[in-house]
Amino acid sequence: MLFQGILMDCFQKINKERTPASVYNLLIGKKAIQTIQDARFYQTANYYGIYPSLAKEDYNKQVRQLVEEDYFVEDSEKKLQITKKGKTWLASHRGYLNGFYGSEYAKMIEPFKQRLLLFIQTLTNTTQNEYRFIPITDQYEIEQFVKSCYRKYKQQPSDALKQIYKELENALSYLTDQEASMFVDRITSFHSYGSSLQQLSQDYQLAIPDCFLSIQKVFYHLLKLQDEDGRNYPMLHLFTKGLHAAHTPLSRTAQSTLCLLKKNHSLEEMMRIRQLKLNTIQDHLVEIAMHEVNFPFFDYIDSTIYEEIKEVVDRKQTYRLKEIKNNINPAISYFQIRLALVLYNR
Amino acid sequence: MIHLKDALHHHFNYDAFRIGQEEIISDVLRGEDVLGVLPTGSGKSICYQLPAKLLDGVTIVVSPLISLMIDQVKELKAASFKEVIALNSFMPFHEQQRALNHLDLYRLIYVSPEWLQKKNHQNYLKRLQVKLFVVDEAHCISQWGHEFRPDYQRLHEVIAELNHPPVLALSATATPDVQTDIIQSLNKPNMKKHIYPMDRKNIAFCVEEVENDQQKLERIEEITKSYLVPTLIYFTSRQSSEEVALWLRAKHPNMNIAYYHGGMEASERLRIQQQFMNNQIDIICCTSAFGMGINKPDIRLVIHYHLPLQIESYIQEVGRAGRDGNSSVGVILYHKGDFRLSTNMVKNELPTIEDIDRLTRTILTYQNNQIDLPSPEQLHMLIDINEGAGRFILRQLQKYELVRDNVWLLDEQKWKSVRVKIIQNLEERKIYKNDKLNELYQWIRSDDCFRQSLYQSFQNGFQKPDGQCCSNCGFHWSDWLPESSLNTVESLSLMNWRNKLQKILNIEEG
Repeated sequence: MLFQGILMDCFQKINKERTPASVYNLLIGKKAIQTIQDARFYQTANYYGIYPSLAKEDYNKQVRQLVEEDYFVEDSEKKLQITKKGKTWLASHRGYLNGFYGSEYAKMIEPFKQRLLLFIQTLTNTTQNEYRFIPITDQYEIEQFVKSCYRKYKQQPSDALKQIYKELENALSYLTDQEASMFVDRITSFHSYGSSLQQLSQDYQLAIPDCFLSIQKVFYHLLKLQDEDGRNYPMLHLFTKGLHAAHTPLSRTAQSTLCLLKKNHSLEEMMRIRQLKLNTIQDHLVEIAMHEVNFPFFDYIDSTIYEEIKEVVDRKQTYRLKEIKNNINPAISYFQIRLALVLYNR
Repeated sequence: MIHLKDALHHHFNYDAFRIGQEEIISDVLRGEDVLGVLPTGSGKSICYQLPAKLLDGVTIVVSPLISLMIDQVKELKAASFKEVIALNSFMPFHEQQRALNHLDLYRLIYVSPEWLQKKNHQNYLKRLQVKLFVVDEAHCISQWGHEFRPDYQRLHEVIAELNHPPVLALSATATPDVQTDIIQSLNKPNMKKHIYPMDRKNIAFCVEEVENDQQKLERIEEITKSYLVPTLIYFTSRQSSEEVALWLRAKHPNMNIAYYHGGMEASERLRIQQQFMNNQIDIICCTSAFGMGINKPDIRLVIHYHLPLQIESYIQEVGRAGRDGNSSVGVILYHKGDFRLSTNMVKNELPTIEDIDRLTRTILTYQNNQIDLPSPEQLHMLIDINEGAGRFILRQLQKYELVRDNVWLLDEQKWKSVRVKIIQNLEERKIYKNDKLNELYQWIRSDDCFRQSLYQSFQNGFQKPDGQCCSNCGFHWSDWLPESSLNTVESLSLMNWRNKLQKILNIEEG
């Protein structure tokens, strides 16, 4: 039920203000500014990008199933709402859903995972004098990283393996035996290729998404530990080298717009210089506003506009742009509302 | 010739050549154009991999299947042949650019035929010292080959562009007609032919007619229960491969059974493949996607739950058994309803005339209204037809230059002039495919020796089988006693995770 639990949590948090597609975008970690903004507004950032390989059909199927099993109910506008049954389930499984740090480690989790697993595969093979093995990944950057690590440890490979054991053993003991066990089964080593998700699903009698997410959770846990207690997890820490934690940096195109902004170009000038539409530039500005501490909000909205929007958000308890727009002075644009919401969430 | 053997040992760690390899390699090194037809599993790739190591320059290999070439590159790298790369249109842009700028670092370059058609790509290759041009799966050149690829028919242009390096064409399934086509299309009339018989004397053929699917399952259960050997079970649908794998697993809880098909993620497929290689899996239920480039020597049983659509594919699939030369069995389970199923599959693999007309109308309307068209490779989505049918249309459009370099060149006038020809080709193709299917079913229904009739269109005669011949000559399971190579891998599943982790990381206990 892990996957379903996460879906319930998400739908409860967006509280009918967003479409099912927005939850899908959240889970696969879509880089659109809307998705990133939603993740913050609705406090679902922990789930951002936790399931990049999730197929749209599988997602839809799962959502439909939740409706069939009365965890969700569809209202007259075809919006999905969590039922009492769903709420009860959520209330008693809170702890089970903890442990994801999606947006925090969005850029780190994949390379960290691959580096760790390829390093283990490499060392366990070479210590047995096996130099012919098919690596679990052939991504250039990962290979290069592991090569450099390997060079560092090839003099005392068994010490490195011992250290990895120590750290993993320690880290996994915080988790349930089942989570630890699935994680271990997925590791590829000398003459032993790790289980596929299908195999885990059979071995543990869990749905495939639950297997994937359980293991994903372990990797977030490892990342968190090395972050907070790097001294006790030097090997794990090593595998994060050069990776950037936390807030996704600006998209490249927004960076170019930021350069212009810093030179005090107006909106119109930015459009002309960059040969982009107004909407696009505005998207960039919202994105920049979320990242830049010194963003000049009040170049675009004055304080009366901000207060007006804030009042509606508080009174209506909503982040829905359309709903807000309908309750304020029509002269205020969507762009201004979005900026105001960024500021509101500061 | 002694030095060739040394080189083989030195570079690939093999002690001896297999049939045909040495002869082909010697001719290739002498700079001759060679056509090699070698049975599946006989190590065709050594015929160019060893020359690639020995020649002072680059070897280019055209290979039709991207997954196959990627597997080969992985294997070569694992065997410390590092100066090798696979170039294809699926490579991420910057990775491809990095590779193109450093092409001189490689000795062996695999390319897909589509990739090779691009002028820009050819220009990169022209800067290299190309010492050998290999056409793998060369039967794709021939219209009469079962895997016809129009881009293959333009390979002679590329060969000329590269200043006529020596050409090596290789295939495992080329009838005499197809061989002639290959030589003609490559425009190399003096090609030296090395044709080796494709029959496999260590494989026995066992064809069993049953009443229904349920009985197929029962037979599979019985056979796999008596023989704990590495086994492949072939299906034509992904869904049945999954279903039967799960069913069989419930029947044999102590065996390791998995499924494998093209719908799975690449990394998951790799796990299953490698587990099978390591004997962590005993039985794989798979579609034809499995097996390309898999070099497991000790597969003892290849069972067909569904038959493929032509004899060539069957020969290829059953040929994955017994590459080590030890006694193996190919089992075919079929019932009367199977023929109808196969006929439907053939039908769906080709478009109807209406499909083709609908497609061109759509394209012309889009063009007239200046609506963006999807790339020609995606045309099956435009009118929602089966991918195979879409591929047929695409190939026809390429043939008549209505698509080139993945760009639409269609207009009203051109279309009118080729429509009749395309429809004619479609009709011919339909007849051809149905003939192929009939040939296969005639074969399994025949009362004659299965070995003889299987190979008769490819060669005269066959070697005397090592063990039993086939079910028409008399096959008794009780006489088949293969050595079980499954040295029951120590089961990890019962250990707790700490012990498992220790074992994986090779840590002494305590």
